[in-house]
Amino acid sequence: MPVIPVAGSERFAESGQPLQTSGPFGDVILHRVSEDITAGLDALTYEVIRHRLVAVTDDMGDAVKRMSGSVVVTDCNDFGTGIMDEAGETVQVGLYNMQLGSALDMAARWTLTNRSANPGIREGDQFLLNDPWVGGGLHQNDVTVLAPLFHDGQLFCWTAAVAHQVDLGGVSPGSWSVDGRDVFWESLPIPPVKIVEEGQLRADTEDMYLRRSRVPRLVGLDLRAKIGANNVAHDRLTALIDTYGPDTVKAVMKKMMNDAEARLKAKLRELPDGTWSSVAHQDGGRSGDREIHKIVVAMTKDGERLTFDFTGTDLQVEGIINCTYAGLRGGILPVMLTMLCPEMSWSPGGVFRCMDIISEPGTINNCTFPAGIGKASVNSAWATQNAVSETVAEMLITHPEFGRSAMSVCCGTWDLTLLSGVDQRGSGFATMICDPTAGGLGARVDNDGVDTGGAHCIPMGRTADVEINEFNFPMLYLWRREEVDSGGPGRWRGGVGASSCFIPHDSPVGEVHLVVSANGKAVPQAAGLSGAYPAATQWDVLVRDAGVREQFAAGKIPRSLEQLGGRTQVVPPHLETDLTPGDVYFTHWQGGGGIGDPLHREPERVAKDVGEGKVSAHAAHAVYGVVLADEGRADPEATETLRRQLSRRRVGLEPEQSPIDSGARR
Amino acid sequence: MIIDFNLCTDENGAVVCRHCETTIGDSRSSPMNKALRHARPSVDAGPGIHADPALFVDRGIMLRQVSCPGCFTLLRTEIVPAEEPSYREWSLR
Amino acid sequence: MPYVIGIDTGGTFTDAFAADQHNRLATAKTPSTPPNFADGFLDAIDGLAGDLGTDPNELLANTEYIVHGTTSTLNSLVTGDVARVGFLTTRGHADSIAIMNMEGRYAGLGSDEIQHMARTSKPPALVPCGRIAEIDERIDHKGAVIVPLDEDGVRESVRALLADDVEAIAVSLLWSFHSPAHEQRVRELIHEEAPGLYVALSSEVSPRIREYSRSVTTLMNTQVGPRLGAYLEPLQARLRERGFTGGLMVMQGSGGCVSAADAPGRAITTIGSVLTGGVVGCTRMAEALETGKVISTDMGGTTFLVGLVVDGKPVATTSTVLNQYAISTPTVDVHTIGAGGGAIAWLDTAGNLKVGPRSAGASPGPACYGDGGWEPTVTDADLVLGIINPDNFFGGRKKLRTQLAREAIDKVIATPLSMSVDDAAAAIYAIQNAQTADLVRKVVVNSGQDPREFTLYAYGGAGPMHCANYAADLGVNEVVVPLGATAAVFSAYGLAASDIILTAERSQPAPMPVDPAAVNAVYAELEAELDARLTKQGLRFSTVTYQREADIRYTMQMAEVSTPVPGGKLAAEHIGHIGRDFEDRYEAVYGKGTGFPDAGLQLITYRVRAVGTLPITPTLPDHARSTGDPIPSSEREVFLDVRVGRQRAQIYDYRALKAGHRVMGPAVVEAPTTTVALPPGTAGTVDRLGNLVIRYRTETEEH
Ligand SMILES: [Zn+2]
Repeated sequence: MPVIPVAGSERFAESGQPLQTSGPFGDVILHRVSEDITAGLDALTYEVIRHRLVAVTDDMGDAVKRMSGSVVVTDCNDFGTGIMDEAGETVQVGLYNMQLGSALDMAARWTLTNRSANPGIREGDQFLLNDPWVGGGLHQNDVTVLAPLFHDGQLFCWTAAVAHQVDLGGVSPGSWSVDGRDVFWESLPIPPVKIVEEGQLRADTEDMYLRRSRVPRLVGLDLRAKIGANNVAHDRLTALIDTYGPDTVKAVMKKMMNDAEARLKAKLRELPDGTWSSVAHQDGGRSGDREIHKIVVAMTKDGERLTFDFTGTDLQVEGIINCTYAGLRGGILPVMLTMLCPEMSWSPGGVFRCMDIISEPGTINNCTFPAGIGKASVNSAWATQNAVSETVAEMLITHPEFGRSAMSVCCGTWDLTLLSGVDQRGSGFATMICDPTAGGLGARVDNDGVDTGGAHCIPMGRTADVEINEFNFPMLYLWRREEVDSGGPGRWRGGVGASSCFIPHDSPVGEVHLVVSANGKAVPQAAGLSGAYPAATQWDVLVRDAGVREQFAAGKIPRSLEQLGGRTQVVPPHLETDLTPGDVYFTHWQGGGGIGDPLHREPERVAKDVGEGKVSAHAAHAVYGVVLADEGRADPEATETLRRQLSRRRVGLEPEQSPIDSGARR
Repeated sequence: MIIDFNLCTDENGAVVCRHCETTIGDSRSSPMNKALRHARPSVDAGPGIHADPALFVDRGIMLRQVSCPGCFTLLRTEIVPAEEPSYREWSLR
Repeated sequence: MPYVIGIDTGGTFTDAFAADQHNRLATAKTPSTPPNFADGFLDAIDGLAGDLGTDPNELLANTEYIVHGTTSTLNSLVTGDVARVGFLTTRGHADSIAIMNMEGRYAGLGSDEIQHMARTSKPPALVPCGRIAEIDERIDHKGAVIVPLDEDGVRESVRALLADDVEAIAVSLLWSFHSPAHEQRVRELIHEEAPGLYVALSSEVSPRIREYSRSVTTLMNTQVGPRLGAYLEPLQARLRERGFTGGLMVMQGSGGCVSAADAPGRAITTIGSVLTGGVVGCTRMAEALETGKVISTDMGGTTFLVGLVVDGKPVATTSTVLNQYAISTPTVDVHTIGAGGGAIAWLDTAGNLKVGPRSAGASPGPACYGDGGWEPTVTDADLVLGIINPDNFFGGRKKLRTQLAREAIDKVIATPLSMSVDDAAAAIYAIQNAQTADLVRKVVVNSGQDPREFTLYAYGGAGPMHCANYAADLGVNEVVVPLGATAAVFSAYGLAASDIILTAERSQPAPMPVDPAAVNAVYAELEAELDARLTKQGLRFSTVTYQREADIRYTMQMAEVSTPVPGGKLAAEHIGHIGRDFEDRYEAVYGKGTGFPDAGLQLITYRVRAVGTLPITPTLPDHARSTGDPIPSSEREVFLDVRVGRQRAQIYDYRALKAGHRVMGPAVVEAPTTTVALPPGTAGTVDRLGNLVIRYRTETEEH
């Protein structure tokens, strides 16, 4: 079907650039502070207020977590909080999903520009949005509540809380419509609407919002969580303003961004000038698609600036994996913060000033309306992050100190398993299984990646206990375990990923609906550095008519796919189906990439990995070139010989051939 | 200066292997022109490739490796669609 | 005269307090003696006897019971000196303790550390994989047996573990908190193979939903239980040899104690043993002073501890983090940051001034000690600012060198930041106060309280120098600095004044309203269990009370809110009332309108706390009274407030202050154990027990 251009949709495409005009913005007066107040700020007051602003985003996070009702938020920390200045520049983000801290500024600027005249922006108002072209979240499930804070009648700053909502409608339960071809198959984006008016939650707006969801009560609880988080922030900020005066507090906000900018620039000056390029692949843009879609990035570091040039990236696709410009930024910011700014204030407003982005609208990670973006956050945004993280890490490891902050690519995608149907109490449910939060992290310059250590964009992710999932949802786990050979082989191994294997259990209607979506099945996604291998491919398997119940009755719990019996079906990147009580679902998410040649890994480390089930004996032999002797110890001599053979085979030489042209040798 | 686990630049600006001192690239802007390049089907990469890519996609998927011609140390490993150029390149100024 | 004794064994000092019912008090502070902490314990008894002018054996013979805060459990876990443990768990789930719900990579770390993602790691495994065995068995969420227990498999695994020389076995099976039958049978099978072996079941140690922390709790309990027993048994024998016939009690993290005989089986409850004495001390002091809500702040050399007392009870939490592992055991909610007097001020690579969490500790200590410390600490800043008198620190027992403090601050902070030494010291002082205020506020707010309704207690050597500042930031009513008879050994006083507290709990998640019959049944079982355990303590109690609570949440929420439940037989109307009470508490924490009854409520965990009050309660003597104004001992320039800077302040010697005396800030009160800073705008009054009570004057009161 040809793409139908949607007239007027460009109005919603926020540029990502700082506010271009000084107003007017309806009757809204912005609280501004002069440069000299910022410059004249004493170090002491600055530190005290800065501490306090960091604590505010932290408190907002606590509030969201405590109040939310969705495991995605409470357990996976898939949410974000932030404070923006009056012009929308992000002063501080909380340590949650960093993707979700990367486009709050866009949402604030769009709202200021487009809502100040009509319906107006007033004290006590809060705006709700889930339009990733505008900003805020990365796909429609990420709903932002944005709250302007007024002081003395002036718009002082903004706070925002954004969180993944379990279901907001669309063709498939969970709103990840795997057959989707454009945004109209998905939950329709809501541009900023006034959800709280002068302190009062608007019933009409709330109904309009909740009506679209299959789980309106949960979504309603989360809405209150976000409003509550903004209220907490406003109380704290108002107290701060009352103590120190508005100009001082605002000057601290400005200085935080200035400092982040200055410090990042100073760091960049210490790194070599050059260009590092990379690519990230995604197999399958929607159910049935057998194409591979790529994102290409060339990162150039010149003096104190970074340029991310995405020229060469594929055009947007008919499918669900595209992301908007917000998603592209969401792919960059987490890497910048965790690897380049670990010791600084996380002030994206300052960090963005150190970089340029070159990207063609209409490409897969900068798509135009009405491209499908239902999985933007974990597809093209995440893939952007994979490519960007590779280039940034390569630049960093040229530096002995900064290299310590680098990791190879972490868990290459989000392994989406979405269950819905009727739970054991007879209520409707839809939920994302958050087990893949425990992905493997990329290897480090001096250590292996952390096994089941997380995802790059969520420094504080979390998985729910098996018992919590079994209590909440009609499912029963056969296992949840770390998976052998899932970490990328290298001198330092990537952290291993893990798998979960479960059966539908105890739903009064028997079957459970399943939506699966994860790439990296043909092309691995978590690349290695310095010659290391990528992490293992994504691996999801559906077993129909397995003999699990019979084995249970016989007192045995199956330990492997082979022991399950039944008909095994390798799951494609996107699938929507039903699980009947006799079926088993196995989902195996990714680990992290390695660093350095696996033939350089100490044989004893490999032997230890085999003993602990992180590496198979087969991989120890074939990839690491380690020969294991009695009691699982490495045989040094046999290993030496095998490694010589393998290193020749890798360059296409037979073991007995003589060394290549020695002229290359100096 | 050190570039990564395997490479550094020498005083003439050439890129050399840190393990065996073999020259890998003549200059910082052409840093790997003397490296060995070899490609195999991706399933040769070991047990980390769980399934034949043909189950999911129509294009061939290759394990492409770049090595030091002196000591055969791996300088880069990637698993990518067969007909694609290698986008994983770098150069210094 | 029967005495009660409190002995608090910390890493550096052992504090002791003894009291009878007739205002006879004794205190002692002696060095701790790691690794043989029992020696220090007995030294402290000698110290008490010396203070009373009696013989130690006579004191012991006249002692009804001793309550002991021990660092043994915590120390075992921190140093890794733990029993060799085997672990049995459900087939398919052995990796739960390695995956750690992923949170183990960052749990318990500060945001500075979490931001540096590539530098975070998981802690070492609790048990090597060779000593973990999976058992075929399965119970589902309703408690139904899906796969029967494979008894032969259990026997085989146990034999393999025994062949591997394990000293103890931990058992944690899925859903065992709901249906403990499989775990109980596993214990029988273990004891058939190895009679008398230390075995801990997750369904007894921590019968709560969430297998990861239940397993971790059970494992750590199993690691420390045999060690705690090996410490307490000989200690008890040595006390008996010296004529002690009373009861030896061990303080638990819950703020109540348990008999030494009962402690090793539930050793994990003693993990907070040494942290809670101070909060219990505050509880008793608050009782004496009739204060309702107290924030307890203890700022010692290396750490800053915060706890809360509300309605006469320490605020408790249901879980804690140690070595990045999540432990589920009810404890007094004591939060710690590395921000004691020895906290080091430093600049990060980006040039931000930071204070702590690293500490100069007791050795080399702050730069001004002159013991080789070269990094500036909070104490150095306090000295440069004039708050500490170099000649009268700890009653003149430690001479301080201001010049060394100035040099350290200059070199590390002032010169790099182009500030004067005085400004740099002021910045350290202010940051220290701001971050302690932030922590305290977080603790208070997260427990659903408003700091403005509280009185703040400040003790520990360094606390009183900072408390008026961080307390002002919180907007509390008043600040109490305990300075009477208990000053030096406040936490040991807390121990001596504590109750026996036993807790029993069980998760049985169900949507509200739960059938009252089910609720009554669970509470009856829990109370019967506690009853039996109380009897086993072998003590007489003046009263025993049961406090019930239920952890409730809106459906699907992660965090529950502990809600009190009335005693007796409950009917449907009571259940409804409990639900409404939960909603009120919820809105108190998160703001009006944040509750969402449409989501439905779930009751997750039932809990009962049995409190046995011991017949002897130490009473504190009244401080000498006086009328008229106190006379300052001197005057000096002191920096007490960021907004004012250095100013002349009156200096008072606490030993000359009497009950009823009022001291106006700016002033400094020098006591033998600490120094109290009174910034401008504050007034300190000595109360009847000798405590200094600081209040903030309003404009109209200024004079
Ligand atoms: Zn070489």
